[in-house]
Amino acid sequence: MNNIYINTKNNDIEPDEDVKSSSGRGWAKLKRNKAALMGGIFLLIYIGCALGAPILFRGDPSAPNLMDSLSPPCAKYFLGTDELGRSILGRILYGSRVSLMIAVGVVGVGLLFGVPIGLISGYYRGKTDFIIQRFTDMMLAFPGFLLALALVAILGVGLENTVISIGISMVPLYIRLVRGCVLTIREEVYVEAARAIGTKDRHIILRHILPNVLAPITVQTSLGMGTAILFAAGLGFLGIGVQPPTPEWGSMLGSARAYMMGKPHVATFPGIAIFLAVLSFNLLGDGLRDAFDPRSKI
Amino acid sequence: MRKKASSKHFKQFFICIAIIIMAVFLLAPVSSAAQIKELKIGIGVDADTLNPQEQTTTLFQNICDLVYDNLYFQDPDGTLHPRLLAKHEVSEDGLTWIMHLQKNVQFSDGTAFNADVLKQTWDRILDPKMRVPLRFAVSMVKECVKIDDYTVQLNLKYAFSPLNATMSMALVSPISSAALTKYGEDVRQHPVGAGPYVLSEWVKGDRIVLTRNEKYWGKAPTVDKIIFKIVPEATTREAMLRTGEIDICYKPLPSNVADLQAQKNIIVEMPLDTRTIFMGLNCQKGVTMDKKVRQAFNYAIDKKAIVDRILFNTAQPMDGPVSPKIFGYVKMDHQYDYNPGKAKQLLKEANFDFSKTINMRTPNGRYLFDKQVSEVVQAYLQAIGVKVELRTYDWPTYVAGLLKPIEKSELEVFLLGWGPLFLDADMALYGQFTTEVNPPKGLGSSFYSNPVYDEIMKASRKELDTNKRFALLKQASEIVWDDCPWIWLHVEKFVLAYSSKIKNLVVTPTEKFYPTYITME
Repeated sequence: MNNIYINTKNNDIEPDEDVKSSSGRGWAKLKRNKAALMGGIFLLIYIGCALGAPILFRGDPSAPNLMDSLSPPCAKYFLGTDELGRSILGRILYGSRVSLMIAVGVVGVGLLFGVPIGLISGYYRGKTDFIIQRFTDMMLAFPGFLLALALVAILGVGLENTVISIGISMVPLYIRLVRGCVLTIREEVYVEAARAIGTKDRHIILRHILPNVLAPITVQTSLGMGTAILFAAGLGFLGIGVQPPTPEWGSMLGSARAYMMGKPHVATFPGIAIFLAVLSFNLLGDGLRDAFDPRSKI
Repeated sequence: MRKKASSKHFKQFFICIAIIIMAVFLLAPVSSAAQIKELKIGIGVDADTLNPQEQTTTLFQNICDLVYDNLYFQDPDGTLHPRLLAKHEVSEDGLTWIMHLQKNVQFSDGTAFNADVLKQTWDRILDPKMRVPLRFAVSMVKECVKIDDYTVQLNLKYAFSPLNATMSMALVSPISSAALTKYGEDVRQHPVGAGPYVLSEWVKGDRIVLTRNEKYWGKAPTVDKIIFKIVPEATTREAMLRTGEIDICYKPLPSNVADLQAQKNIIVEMPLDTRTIFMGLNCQKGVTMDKKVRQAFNYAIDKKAIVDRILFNTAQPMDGPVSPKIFGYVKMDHQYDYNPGKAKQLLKEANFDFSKTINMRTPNGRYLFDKQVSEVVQAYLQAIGVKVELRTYDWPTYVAGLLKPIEKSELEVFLLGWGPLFLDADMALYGQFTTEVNPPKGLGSSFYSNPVYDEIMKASRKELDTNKRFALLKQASEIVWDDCPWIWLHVEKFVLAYSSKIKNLVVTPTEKFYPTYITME
């Protein structure tokens, strides 16, 4: 079973047919998973909206037009307008760019720090591992959102700081995940063989171990993006995330709270946008896990 | 003859009995309706302290007023009524104020209210070791001296004619000396005053319950028990009012005011407040140092549109530097009506550097739709070609930024509110625009400094003649209105929604309400 983790391209051992078919089976399983497929479609639409926002909506989504404030959905404003008379459709489309940017940025920060630290911690074990893991324990002691909130309070508000704060709050998750995988992989025969022929640690980590932890990292990345969008929306809702007038789903929802009774459409559409974006990442993430998790095959 | 007389007496007797019975029937419902067993009020937050000297939030000063009573009571028209003080006299130079206390007053714990208690109150207020955040409002008082059991004398450092109105603040309400001995500074959790109500229960985060003070010296309150129910979400408070779960809803959302007004069983009262909302402009640093730029910014903003569309008419555009509700207000002859063309022209005359990005900051949730107002102001400034970057801050960080001295100040354009605690223009015109209140000494974060203005305001404090003082305040208003240290935005309204069964609720422009003598149908 463990053979499925062997990197077929970079390993000195020639890949056998069984390995290829295991990977292929994973993708086939993913394609058969309807929920994951739906997640994938939502994700494509979401990315399409983010990339095509300037084509899909012409005009400035941040420019107020007080005379049209709180207009319900109509021919002129497909999803209505917010309290400052800005098109909700335009703000949701442009907001998808912001949230996608945050999701990618956050996961990027998480991967950038989490994966190398996790690799070192798991591979070298001993004191290094002990120190890194106690530090990780400390960070994990705080709920993720609370940690992000505290970091924003220290770093200050704004898009960059939101990305950094949420990214840092996710670093321990990647450290733990990668370390766990490395602890298993480092005991494998092919790693032992590489070590026996005098291969350097750096080479072993990068060429033999890293490619084999990519599957769980991919799953975590997909789920992490959903969480990142949710965290960013939470910070935006509290007014300490992305700053106005930049369209951001969470801050749209936060501002709309005051109009829930009389004009529910102002809060409903950004809420649906957040829901669908997070759902798409989660469904896809779950599908990836089901397809590539070795335990699910036993 | 005798028979006729006795029959006449008999008739008279019956008529008297009938009148008495009718009177009993007529009066009985009135007397039972007059006494209200319980009144529930929905409020947003819990109190931190019920020590009137420590309290800075209007709502809890309001509760303090009910528990402690005031030295004077300022009614919604600005007239002062004697309460714990019967009267006062002022010396010709305005430096000595003789205060005559109300006699036969006792605190709810039975302690007598006399000159010793009032002197103790003043000594505590003036003691720098005590935490008194609003001490600046009485900073002119040097000392309090006892004359006799019911008379004290206040000696002032400088003349301050609106001191009588200052006496209506909760800040100077006396606390029972026995309670101070018993609880020490914990009196903030165990308030004992001479007001119409007594604190009977305080469940943190849930409710504050007041019951009628049976020893109250004045007219007995009509409500036996007042429950302040803490409901943080304004929409939930509104729903509770609609269903009759509470009788009064404190500050419903402006966006829902029209809907509440349409309800037959709800009354929405919105008196104009003393609080003015403005965009402060740094007069000593950055591009806003230039008076023409400041005036241009005033012309660039459509204040009426902001009031109509964002605040749902729960505010009114400013037409003078202070709220129309306070003494000293004058509507200015010249108004900064929305005129982007004139704004651009003024910027051109000032050689404005359009490549610079101005830093604008705003609190989020401190004032009515503050973030939204700031966003619109940002858009209006951008419409005349000014680059503006807007940032929101949590309230403590925001306030810390306001108090930095000019060398360290990063303020350029910032949204703020200023609500005088009594109906006199001094707290606004002196407390915001004199050189003396520039941070870090005061809260005049626009760093406005004009020696001519300072002299006029100092003279207004010494002037005891009402008409002459009004003329000085008008002169000061005209100067500052022209200099534009603020983008003059709007005056808020104090919104209170309550059951239409309630009559005679006193609602003041200082964001307070008094249910003490209400009646219920």
